[in-house]
Amino acid sequence: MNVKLSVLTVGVLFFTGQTVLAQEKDSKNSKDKETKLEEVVVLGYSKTATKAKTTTSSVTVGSETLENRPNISVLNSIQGTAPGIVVNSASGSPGSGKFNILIRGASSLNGSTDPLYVVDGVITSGSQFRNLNSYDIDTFSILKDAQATAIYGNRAANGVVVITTKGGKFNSGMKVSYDALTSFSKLPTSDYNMSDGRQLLQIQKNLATGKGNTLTQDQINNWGTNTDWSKQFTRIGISQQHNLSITGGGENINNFLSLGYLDSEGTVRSTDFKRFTMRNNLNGKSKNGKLTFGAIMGLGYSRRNQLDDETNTGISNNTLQNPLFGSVLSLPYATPSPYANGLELYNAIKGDATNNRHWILQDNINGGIRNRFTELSISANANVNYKITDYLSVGNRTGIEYKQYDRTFARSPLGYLAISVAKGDGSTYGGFEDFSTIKDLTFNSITNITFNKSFGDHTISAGAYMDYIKAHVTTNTQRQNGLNPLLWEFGAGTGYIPFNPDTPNIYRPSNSATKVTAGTLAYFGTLDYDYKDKYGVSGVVRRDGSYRFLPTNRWETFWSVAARWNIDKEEFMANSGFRLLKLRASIGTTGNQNLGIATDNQNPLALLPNNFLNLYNGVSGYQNLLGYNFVNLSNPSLEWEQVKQSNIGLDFNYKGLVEGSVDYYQKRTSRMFNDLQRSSVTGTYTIRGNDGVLDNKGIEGMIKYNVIRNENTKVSVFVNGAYNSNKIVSMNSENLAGDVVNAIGGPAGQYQLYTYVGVNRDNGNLQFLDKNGNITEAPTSADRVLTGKSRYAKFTGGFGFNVQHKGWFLDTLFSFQQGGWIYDNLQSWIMDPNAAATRNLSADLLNAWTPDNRDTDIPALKASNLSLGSSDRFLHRSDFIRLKNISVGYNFSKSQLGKLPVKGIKVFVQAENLYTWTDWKGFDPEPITSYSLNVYPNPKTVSVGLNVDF
Amino acid sequence: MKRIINTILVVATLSSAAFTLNSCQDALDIKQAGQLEGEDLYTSVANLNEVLNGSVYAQLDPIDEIYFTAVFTDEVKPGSGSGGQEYTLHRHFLDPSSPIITGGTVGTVASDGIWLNNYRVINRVNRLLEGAKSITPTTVEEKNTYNAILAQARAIRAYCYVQLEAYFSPDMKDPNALGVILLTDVPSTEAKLPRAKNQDVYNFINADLDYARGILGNSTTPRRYKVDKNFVNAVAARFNLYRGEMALAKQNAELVINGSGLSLTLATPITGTNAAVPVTEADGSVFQSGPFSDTPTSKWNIAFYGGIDESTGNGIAGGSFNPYRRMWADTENGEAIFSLNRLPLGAGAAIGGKWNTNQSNISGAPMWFWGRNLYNMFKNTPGDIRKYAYVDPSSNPNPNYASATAGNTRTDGLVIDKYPGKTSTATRNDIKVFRLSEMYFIIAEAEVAAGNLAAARDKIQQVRVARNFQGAATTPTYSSAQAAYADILKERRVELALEGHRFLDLKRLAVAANVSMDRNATDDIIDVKNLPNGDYRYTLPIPIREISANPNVKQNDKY
Repeated sequence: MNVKLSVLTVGVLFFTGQTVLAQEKDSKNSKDKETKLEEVVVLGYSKTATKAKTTTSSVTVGSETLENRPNISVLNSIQGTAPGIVVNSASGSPGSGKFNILIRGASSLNGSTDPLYVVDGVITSGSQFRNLNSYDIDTFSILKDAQATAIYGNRAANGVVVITTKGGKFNSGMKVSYDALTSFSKLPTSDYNMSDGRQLLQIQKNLATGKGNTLTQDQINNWGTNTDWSKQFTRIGISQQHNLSITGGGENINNFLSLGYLDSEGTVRSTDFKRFTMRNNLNGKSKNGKLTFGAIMGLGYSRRNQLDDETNTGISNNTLQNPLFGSVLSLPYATPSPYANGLELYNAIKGDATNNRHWILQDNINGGIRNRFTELSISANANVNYKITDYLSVGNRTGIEYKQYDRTFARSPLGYLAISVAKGDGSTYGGFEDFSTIKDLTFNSITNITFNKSFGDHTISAGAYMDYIKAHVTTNTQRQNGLNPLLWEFGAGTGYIPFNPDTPNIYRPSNSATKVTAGTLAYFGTLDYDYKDKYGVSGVVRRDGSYRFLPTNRWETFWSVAARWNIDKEEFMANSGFRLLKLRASIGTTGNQNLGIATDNQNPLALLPNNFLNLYNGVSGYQNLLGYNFVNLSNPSLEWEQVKQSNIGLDFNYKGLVEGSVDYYQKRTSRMFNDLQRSSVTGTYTIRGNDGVLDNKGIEGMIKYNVIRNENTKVSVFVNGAYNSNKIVSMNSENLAGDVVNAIGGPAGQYQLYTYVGVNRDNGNLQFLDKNGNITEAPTSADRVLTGKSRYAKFTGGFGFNVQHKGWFLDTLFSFQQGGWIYDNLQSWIMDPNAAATRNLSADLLNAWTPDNRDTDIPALKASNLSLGSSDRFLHRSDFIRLKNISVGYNFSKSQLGKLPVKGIKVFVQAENLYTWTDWKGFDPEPITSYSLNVYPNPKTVSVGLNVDF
Repeated sequence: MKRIINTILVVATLSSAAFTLNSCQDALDIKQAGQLEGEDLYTSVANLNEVLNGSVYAQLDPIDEIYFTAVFTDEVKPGSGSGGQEYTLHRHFLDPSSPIITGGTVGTVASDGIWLNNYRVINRVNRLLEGAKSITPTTVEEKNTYNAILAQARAIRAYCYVQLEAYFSPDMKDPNALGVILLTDVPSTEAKLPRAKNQDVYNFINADLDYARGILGNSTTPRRYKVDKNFVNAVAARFNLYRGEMALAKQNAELVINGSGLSLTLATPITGTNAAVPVTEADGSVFQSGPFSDTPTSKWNIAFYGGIDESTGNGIAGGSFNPYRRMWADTENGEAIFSLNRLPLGAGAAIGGKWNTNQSNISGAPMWFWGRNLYNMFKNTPGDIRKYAYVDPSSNPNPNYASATAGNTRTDGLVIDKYPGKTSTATRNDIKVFRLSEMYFIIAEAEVAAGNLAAARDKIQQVRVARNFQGAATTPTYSSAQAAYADILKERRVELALEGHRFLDLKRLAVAANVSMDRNATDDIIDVKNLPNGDYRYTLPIPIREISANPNVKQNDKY
């Protein structure tokens, strides 16, 4: 979905900042004084071009798609809107930083696959945008092919996302807008056929275990309690957001100011998110237009309460500490916790956690575990551009991005876990409280000189740039062990039990800090040539340096060339009806130096800073004495990962009725960042390095058809889709140890499992195929076969329609994916009779094999090979079609509003993720993950909203 | 005027660009804070000692061997708190990609597996030896420290090679059989070494042991947490036992018995006081156990187990009046020749957590209970202290366990308390790598091999006497070598339980003793199987990750 931006068709490519409405005076550079407004395409480094003149493959999502959505991060609103970008949310926790973003497939196996994000011309280290108000975004552009991305050479191998925030317009008067949205969210349901109270007791009785084994059949049949644990752990989350913006512009200056407030409750109890944002974008120019400048300031402050497991993988499969399991695995025959706090609970059950997990989990989310994050972000940049002559300009853009993440985490001294641990080690006071802070400052400065001249039918633009980035990331943490419940209050530092040397092992506080400095430097040049608006070529050459490599491998050159042919401008097309028919092709290279995969809050540039050195570190060694441990086995030959991409594409617009584009691309990653397999004599099985070639090939297209366009009614339908095939071409060393492997010839993250073929009718055991295809009941790891299946969907896309009739409108957006697989290990848990005594299980187990029930697909409850994990029994497709967004509403016209002091009012109802068509049994097939455990599902949300323009 | 302003702006822009150009290289030439490379580290003997601490001692941990042995043989059965961890291993599904072999989640914690855990230590020792070459000690005192550092490192390297050989060589008694990879220096990161034959590895082990023996003296500290001469001799004793050099085994074991200054830890007294218990007697005197009865009183439990809890004596307070129990609670050294010290906070894994998730009692989420047959052995021996020292008083044995249905074995709660935790930490205990009892067993085996059945019996009886608080220890006269081996194996099974011996003992001795793996029929929640003698799984597979990185390494048969 391309957005229409209003801009003059001019030869000038180098607007500073966002696109601005061109004025009559500026049009002197325009060859033909054309004043027609045309669509604009965002290029790198604040460059823009008209759609007809661009040689790149990119797609832009406009503000109308991003506004009026209840999503905290703009990324949540992108799914299904643009071909070639996969945006899956891996967690529905409010303000979560877990996203799976892939542009044209995963182009790295073990390095970062996140695209590069550029906000208002400045590269950002962020990748979750929880502090960016979606209402402030003007355009969200995805740059895909080599020509589009090569200009960002050093970090562009995974594609680039360019976000531009709104600005004011010159000579526009003042406009005030107010937007409000209230939302109600609900956790989706699973389709696991979980047991009710009686069913679980029956399964236990069949297994002669647990409570069911102590009851008579009669007692089970008449068992009264059947707790709906989802009610105890989840809720309808209520959210609201308010945005106020003021824009205005005079002759030489314009300004955009916005204030935003958002308050969102999570669907899992104890999770929420609050945010305050402010943005001020100022632009100005000198009277003669030679000097333009801008200043952009974005402030965000957010606070969220989050489950510990969201960022703590250590407890992701811990049934005592991960409340996400509470609604599924809790025993339905037990009542909700009757205890007011952890102490009462402890007094009742003592240390018996195994049989009372549901109550402990309840205690955790009711204050036993506290986990609060705050995030302060400041992004500020200033830019200036001066036209020395009509064809020569110099410019500079300098900005900082500062982020401060604070986390306060505590095990409350009133919580069960704290009390239980304290009782275990004999201390009087339990609990602990952590404060941790990450400060991340990125400085970016870009200086450029550009040349731009037309003579006759020829137009030449050229630019030379220098791009300097430096990042400073520091962290510090502190922990207090031992909290006094009488005084302690979360995050206040009160109630700390003093350390006593007589009891050296309890109440001992700890602290730590780190610092990483990172940087990159690049010089590059661009050239664009146009002949008669009919033919064009472009090129980029870029020389990139990164601090991450030894000086010998530090610098690398990336390049791209592209050409276009505007067929519609040819004479023979004069009356064809095509407003645009453009063929374009490009080829080029980009690099990746982000060796590590950044998770929540991390700056990818600062990960693994000196992997090329053999390093020791002073650690708390044996007997807690200082010891030097060898901590990093170096790889001095570490160098840039490189992506070479070729693209051919066609853009078309037929009479304004049908418009769209088609692209075919081939992308080859070489010198792939990889875990190099090493013999154990080196002291480690893997080191980081470059090894292998990975291919992504695909085709993507979008088409929009304006079915009806008349004064009262507009109807259009749109479809976009992408197919990407991912294949590992070569690697020197393959690691085929696990169930999920990167095997040569297969896709990234391929499942390696043996085939499950059902239940043995004679003994109730599971049956598998061995590597020769024969049935076996005792497969070994050698029987696993490469399935060719991976978590990455091959087809992705979206479709929908927009209807407008008089003031009414109805917009829909469906998203879909097909071809991905997820191993549902949560399902494997609920199908595991070993756990019958302590967890809820699927009622399917009542149909387990017995000598009297031989024709079933559920193995005997005591099948001897039940625990074997490496089969494809629980590997399922993650295909879905989702009604991502539907909104219906009414626009009041000025005439309807009469004398009210407003220009327009829009009211609407909209829903996110309202319905999903899928065979996936779990909560949510959307996260791109190899294993389904520990997923906070994306909620279904219904909202009502209002926009008022004054 | 405007022209002037514009000019200033242009100059400002360009000069800021020039400024950036000049200083731009600072974006790339970055030395990270705290960056420490070998050349800066290997500069003094003091630093070298801290490398020994952080890179060698801190990395040494045979906990995976101990856990594997317990789960794979007949030492444990599923506990009431288990979520099914390692049930497949318990059922003898073992292959090159099993986590305990190649790395992954073992129990509930991440591990690199038995193979890499030992090679990492060997690699670090070699780095230390290489780095030490650039250090020249100046004083005699420094020279002694320097030599002692090298000797400790090499002794530990020898120990690791013995561990690797024991688990991965198909037959240690054959010097020409396939051994493990022999790494003698700091390898290149590209190293792809083949397996050496046993004799080559043995020569290397012996060289290390001889070197260390020549330098190290007897430990002078009451707690044996550092490698000394007795450690070296103990390694040599065990090593020679495994490879069938019985005379050498006996000789080294005797060196330990005579040279260590240790004696077998006694099972008596069986009543007494425990000062660690926070409660005192009514008259203010130290807490007393009161009289002993076969079913102990709560008071006795509290004093014996060092508890604070009236009913269970949960071990939190630590201490005991009983020396044998005091050794397992790490209150005193006892007969330990070398232990890896595990302080309440800090480095090293928690061995207790392998059996009991939170605490060693029935409500501490036990992952594994004692195997029924092993439990019966020490429970049914009159006066055997291990009936109490190994088992938590909160245990809940089911007298009718044999007739219970298979799923019910987890309600037959035989809580393991051999690793009871220590003050302020419920699941951490020192890892006893060598204890004196083992030396007695080694001598006994050597005597059988030499035909001295009576001498063998005496050694076993000595251990049994020490473990019996009623003076009721009995050892039959051995009628044959086979009977002798069977009895030695029986006592080893009890005394060295959960110390990583049973798997290797069955491999070495089961055939000679005419016994085999001995699980109770209720030792699983499904039908129980024992691994037959001579099964290929008595030799571990080479990890799949080693194979995939190093095609020159040969896999063991049948994997």
